[in-house]
Amino acid sequence: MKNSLSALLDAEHSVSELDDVCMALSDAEVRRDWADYLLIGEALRAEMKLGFDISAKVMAALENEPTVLAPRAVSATPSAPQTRWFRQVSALAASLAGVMLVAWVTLTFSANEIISPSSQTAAAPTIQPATQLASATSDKLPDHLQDYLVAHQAHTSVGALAGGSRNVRAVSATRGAP
Amino acid sequence: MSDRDLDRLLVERVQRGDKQAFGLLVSKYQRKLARLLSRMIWNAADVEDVVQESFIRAYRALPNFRNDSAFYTWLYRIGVNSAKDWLVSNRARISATSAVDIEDVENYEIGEHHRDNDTPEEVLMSKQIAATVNAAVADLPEDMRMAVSLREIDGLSYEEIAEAMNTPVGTVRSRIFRAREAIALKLRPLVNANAEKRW
Amino acid sequence: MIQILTLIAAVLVHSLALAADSVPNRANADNGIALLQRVAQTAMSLSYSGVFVYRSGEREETSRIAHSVADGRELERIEVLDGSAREVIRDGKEVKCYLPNENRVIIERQASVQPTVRGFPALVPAGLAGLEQNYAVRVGGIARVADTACQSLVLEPRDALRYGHQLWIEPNSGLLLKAGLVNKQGQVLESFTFTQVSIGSTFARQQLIPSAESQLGRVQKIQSSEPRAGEMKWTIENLPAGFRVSKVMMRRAVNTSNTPNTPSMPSAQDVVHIVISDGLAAVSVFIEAAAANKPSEAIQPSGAMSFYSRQIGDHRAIVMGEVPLVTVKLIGDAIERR
Repeated sequence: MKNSLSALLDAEHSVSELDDVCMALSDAEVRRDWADYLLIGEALRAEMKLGFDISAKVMAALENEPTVLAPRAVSATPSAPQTRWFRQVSALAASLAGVMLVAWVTLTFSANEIISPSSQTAAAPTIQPATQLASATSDKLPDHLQDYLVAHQAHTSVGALAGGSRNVRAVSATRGAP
Repeated sequence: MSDRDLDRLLVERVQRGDKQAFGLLVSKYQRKLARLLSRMIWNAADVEDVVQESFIRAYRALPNFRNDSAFYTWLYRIGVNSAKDWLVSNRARISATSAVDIEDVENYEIGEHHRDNDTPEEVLMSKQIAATVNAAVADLPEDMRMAVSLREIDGLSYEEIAEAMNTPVGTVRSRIFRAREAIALKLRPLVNANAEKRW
Repeated sequence: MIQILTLIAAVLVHSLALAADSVPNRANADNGIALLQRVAQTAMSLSYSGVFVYRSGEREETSRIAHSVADGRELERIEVLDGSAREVIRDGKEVKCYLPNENRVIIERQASVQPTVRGFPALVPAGLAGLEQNYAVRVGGIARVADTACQSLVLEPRDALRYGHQLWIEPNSGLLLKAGLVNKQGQVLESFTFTQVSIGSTFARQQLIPSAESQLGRVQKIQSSEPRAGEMKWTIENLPAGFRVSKVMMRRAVNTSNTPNTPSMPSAQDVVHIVISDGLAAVSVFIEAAAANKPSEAIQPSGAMSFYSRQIGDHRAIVMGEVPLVTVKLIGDAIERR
């Protein structure tokens, strides 16, 4: 990891190394090494303000910021021709998504979170921090939603699964039904 | 891949919802931005506030960032605008303490007109870090010292360093990494004092 | 039991942490993909039975499952052993859910629908490359599940639009014995763990007939089919990164009654059902006629499912899937009338 960080700093990394580093950012040691290596470079270039570090403050402040998402800015990579392999993957998706069709028999919501739609007008979609969510106004999934849930489980698990029990969610969700 | 390409990839990750990746950019550019803004804003604590504000503004504006410009150019512009806004709202204070012409701030050149507005503690910390790093570099084996200097001071790519040192690129990569790790080892006790400031 | 599950959760989180520490390489990811491929390949043909624990948020339930392949047709039966008796039976393309508590049975019949539909600007779901664009795949260690040594596999999301998956796979059969959905804080939102399993046992179709069937009053039959030319009046462009439309269906409900006391309900209007996937996670969009202009709402129950509904003129879109709330919302907001 340290080796990858060092290469990343110089933009001499391999494609997977960027992912590896970004995945590992929850590790304080990885963040520390990144900061150390940057600092070393600046010290060698005789830059000033070497003691300046507000990264903790900035990142803490960002905790309360809605997560920015710019799905439209991400270039849509041309989709690969549909191969047999794809069908397997979607079968897998199905299986995993539906790994638990049994879960469905009454979604009893605990601590529901309802997002007001008025917050959706911003150009960029954002995730509201949990603290800004209004408290729940409904605590049970309406009947027809339950039916949709069954359909969701049934149709996303088309084909195959590994590990069965695609229908787990569906059944489990109705558990609390009167 | 250039440094700019790397920034672009990091920005894309952030645009896809990876907040943590923004931390890499903050660490990377915070001091550059602070050095720039300290030419506009006298007080070190105010510089800190404005740098922080700049990063938060940048984060919020990130969905609108077009990848046809370099990230740091864009960030610096946000920084300069934040500083201008700050100067405007603190004009009374500023006119009493400094003669900065707000319209001229962008004409300041890095390295010129640097006013030593840091606190004595900051100046000391800076000096200690520089001294520690330089001492650690001096202790490095020749091949590692050369590799890391060519990279960090001369800004050569791994390939150029490999050519200059007549070694494979992989060796350059590992020498630079080992050099950094050796220096970091000596630097850590010193910067540990700063640990709570670090992300 | 709770202690055991807590332990499992701890193990899940721990393995994720371990996975983050290691430096996965290309070969590791390739092994992971190969393993997934195996899982998907064998899933359709494998027969097995066992007992598993399903845990979602604070709730947990134990169920018995039997899965068999007879005459090239998949049969599956799941009986919930805790709480009220519920049962799900899959017979080929038909899924029946028996809900004795609600005195009804829901029958979902899947018509063969082509993954890409003419006349709909469907984005072909990405294949292998797509999966890796959205998840980092890495093979973890060996762990015991249901007394069987399993290979663990971690699929870490590359962004905040999806959850992480942790899988434990019996390497010889390719059977998934344990699976968990994990959010970015490392919390296990939902897990599924076999406590006992026997691979290779088959059963006959006759065994699929549940005892309760004839007693249930309301029978809801739903037939899905490919939309006819011009029937599809909606588009979804600008999906969140990595998601693609994989299926479009029209749902037609036929409500019947088994008993004279329960009147048949009139056939409901057609509902559009669009399935969107990123290769692993699936999101369903239902668009129904709805005059009442209710406000949009987004709901995230304690498990892995998120819901979002939004009024669009005289229709209402309902979006659900095992993804973070933001993803169903982004998808819901991307729906437009064509």
